[in-house]
Amino acid sequence: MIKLSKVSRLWIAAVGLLFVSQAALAQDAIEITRGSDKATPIAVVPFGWQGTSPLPEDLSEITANDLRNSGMFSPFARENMLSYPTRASEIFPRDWRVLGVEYVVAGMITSPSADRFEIQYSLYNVAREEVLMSKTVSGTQSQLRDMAHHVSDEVFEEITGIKGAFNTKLLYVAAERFSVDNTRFTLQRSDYDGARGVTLLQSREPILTPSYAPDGQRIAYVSFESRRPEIFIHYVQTGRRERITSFEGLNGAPAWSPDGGRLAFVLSRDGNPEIYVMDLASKQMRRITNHFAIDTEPTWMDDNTLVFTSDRGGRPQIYKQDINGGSAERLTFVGNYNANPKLSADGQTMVMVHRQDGYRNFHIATQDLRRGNLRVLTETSLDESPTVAPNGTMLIYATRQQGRGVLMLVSTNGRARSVIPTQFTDLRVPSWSPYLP
Amino acid sequence: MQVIKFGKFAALVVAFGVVVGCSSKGGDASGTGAVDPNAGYTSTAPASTGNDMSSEEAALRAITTFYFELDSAELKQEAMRALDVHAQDLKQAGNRVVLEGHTDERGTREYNLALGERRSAAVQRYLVLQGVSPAQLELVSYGEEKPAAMGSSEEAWAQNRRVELRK
Amino acid sequence: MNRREDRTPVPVTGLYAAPVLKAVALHLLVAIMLFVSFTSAPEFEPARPIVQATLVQLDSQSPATTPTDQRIAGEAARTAAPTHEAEELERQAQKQEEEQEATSRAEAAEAAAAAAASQAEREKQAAAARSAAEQAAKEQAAEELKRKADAARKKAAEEAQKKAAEAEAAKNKAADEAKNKAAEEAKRKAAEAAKAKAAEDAKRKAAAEAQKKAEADRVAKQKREQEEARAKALAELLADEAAYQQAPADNMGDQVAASYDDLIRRYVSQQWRRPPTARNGMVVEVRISMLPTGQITDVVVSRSSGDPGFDQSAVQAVRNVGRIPEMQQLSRDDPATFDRRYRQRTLRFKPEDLSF
Repeated sequence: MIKLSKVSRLWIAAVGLLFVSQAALAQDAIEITRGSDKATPIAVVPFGWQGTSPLPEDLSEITANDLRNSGMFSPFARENMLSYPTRASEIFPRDWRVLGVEYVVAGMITSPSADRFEIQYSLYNVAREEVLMSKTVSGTQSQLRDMAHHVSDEVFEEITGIKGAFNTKLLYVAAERFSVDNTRFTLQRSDYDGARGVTLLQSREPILTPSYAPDGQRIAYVSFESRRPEIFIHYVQTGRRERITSFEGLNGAPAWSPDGGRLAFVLSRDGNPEIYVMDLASKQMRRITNHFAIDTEPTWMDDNTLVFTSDRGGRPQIYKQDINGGSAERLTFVGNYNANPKLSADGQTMVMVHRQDGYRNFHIATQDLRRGNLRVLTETSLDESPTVAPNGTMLIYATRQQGRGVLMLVSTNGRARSVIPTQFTDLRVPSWSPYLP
Repeated sequence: MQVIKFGKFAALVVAFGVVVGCSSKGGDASGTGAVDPNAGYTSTAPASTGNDMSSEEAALRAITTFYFELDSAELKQEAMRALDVHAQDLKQAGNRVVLEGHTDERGTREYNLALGERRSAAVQRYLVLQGVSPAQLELVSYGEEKPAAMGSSEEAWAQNRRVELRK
Repeated sequence: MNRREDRTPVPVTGLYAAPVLKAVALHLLVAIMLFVSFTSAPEFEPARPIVQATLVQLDSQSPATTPTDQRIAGEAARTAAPTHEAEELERQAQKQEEEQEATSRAEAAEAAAAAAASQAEREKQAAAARSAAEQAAKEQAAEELKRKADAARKKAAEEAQKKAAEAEAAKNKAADEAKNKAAEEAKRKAAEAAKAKAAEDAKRKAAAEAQKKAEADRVAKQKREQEEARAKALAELLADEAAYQQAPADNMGDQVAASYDDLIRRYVSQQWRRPPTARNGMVVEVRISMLPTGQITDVVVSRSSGDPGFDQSAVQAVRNVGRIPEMQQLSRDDPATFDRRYRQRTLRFKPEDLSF
């Protein structure tokens, strides 16, 4: 640790005790209490491609968008780049230093055989003039986007130490209204960024609150297809469906337990909305709440704790309760409407619909559960249905634009915002998948 | 004029107060003849019980959508008058109807499902108090999923906060 | 190539064995010393417990070490690659110092402001140098530099004189140091920019180049403007801190060391980008190893926050700093202090400026 020179030793001899304080002083840590508020400037250079026909996807653009969406990076505009290296050896650090770029991602796409594609890519640190990573990923043409997201994940984790969540999926419901009595509801599954949507279910009646199981294989949702709400579990791969509840009154807000073995949901069969938990293997069901108020929108804080919305205090606020008994504890105290809680993977941050005052200013806010601080993240109004990326760096929510539902992505640091593009015009109830294998 | 008008109104209020006095949800007698976007004052003649009122009844029978105030599941007076007629019909016919609860788009969807159910339950309770069998009444809430009017205006919202009685 | 830095913290036993041994040895030594009469007065560095106050100041650059600083400047001139515009700048800087000493005792705040001004000028010079090099006109750039440096000097001198009556305490080290650093950096940047341009000229065709360059310059200018703003903020901060520095320091070395602490703090803060999981009050400690050149050779997490993203942000900040060139001066002028304080050092990252 501290190297003592001969000189210092002599000096110790001279002022023994005082030296002790001096030595302690020398070991004092330098405290860093402030940081930069800027997103990290990174350049994702257009990947080289030597095929005869152009690729169907702009892979480096996908990667740049991913990094931008995290709010932690600001990708450098490709038209302003001074050079376009496609491998690490072609990177001249000065070309990037002069632009203020701190990291460079360069890659080359090849097609070793028919319908086989390979990206060789490198991550380069400009300041240190050092290659941090050189890797290869390969796949078929239909997997090109997956490959680009994979590159994003690797780059993101290498720099931030946080596992990337760009190779994830999104569920949402699209509504196409043809007349007052004729609306088509479509349950869609797409990449997290809205690309490559596929239809899982279509109905003339509403489909509501889809949610991914922790295994990424099953989803639960509410469907009104029999003109009343029922909860279904839908197996993504096979399309097989299982009706879980069909009680009189409400059947709503299904939420998977962290172990994927239980489902919390809302039934009003006992007169008013209460939260229940069902063991999916045995189909045994247990009532958790018991209050004449509305209790709904359960979500799991851990294996034994539910967080939910209740208006037992007169207005919707968020409470938590042990599923094995005990009373509900109120978590939100700021604002006149707090509902639809979702928790970050570490259980420390709660995301919710929040209204400070008034009647229409619904925003998405995050609340630090240890310290209680609340932060409003969105600038839109009529915001609802927040869903958080598995690594907690981004969230997607639904809001209204020109009378139609749109899905917005916002980074949890509030820096990046964008509309999720889809083929539909009226969207709602997004649900972010867990990390997928 | 003012006095007469007021007197008429007061009589009306008292009459209804008697009718719904035992209803737990009907305590809104002090209301000032709430304004509805659709139902409104389309049927304005005072309902003096027992008189020739077939045309009056027909008008009330035609009202099958009942509107609510923001964040409220309390029935308005017009709604109660119409529901009185529906209650008689239901008792006579013994048929089954669906009470669909709806909300405007504000607030979260699942919470609104619950709120819509609260509204349909208020209608159900009123009808049961009038002697309708609960077995005849099926409740379903669509929350904000099936708006009657599109858009994010106060007018649209007012039209969407409703219970629809469907045969 | 393909290097991935090892992120795993060193085993705890390995980390603490050596210090424990040393601590024991130290205590023994102290105990012995208590019973030994010693006549030799502290020749090298008198102990001053009060320096702790200096150490904990954020950005508390010591104002009272002009001589040391001149030495630093001199060293820089000798070691840096000699390009004539750089030497010109050096001369300007020295001349400026002499003048200032003759006229002055400018107050710390005043001088710091002047430093900011000259740094601002320096940024402009760098920009000018870059475009000049573009037309392969190095002399022109040098003249430009000289002219602007002169302007900066005049401005600084004027301001210094205006406030001359105030404040004895200010033979102001902070200002000079900042100035010297500015000169050095300008020199480095000018040289680098010139080199970059030469390389580019060789590498690229001129036609498409003009447009790109304009854009690059715009971006670079933006960055420079940000840096200027930062420098200004720093100068203001230093001015605020000046009050703390009035107490005469009884040891030069540690004052210098304190300012080097600040330097590290500043470099690292600029590079520290916190993940969204970061919260005020979270703590991660990293141990850095440094060569006498200022090159940071290693950084390991010595006390994790429990949040991998937060830990990594600290490691990455240090890595991105890479080298602290000013350290070279310290290790040459005062190797003992360098060895004792900077060969290895712990940085404690503890955010206080987050919205959470």
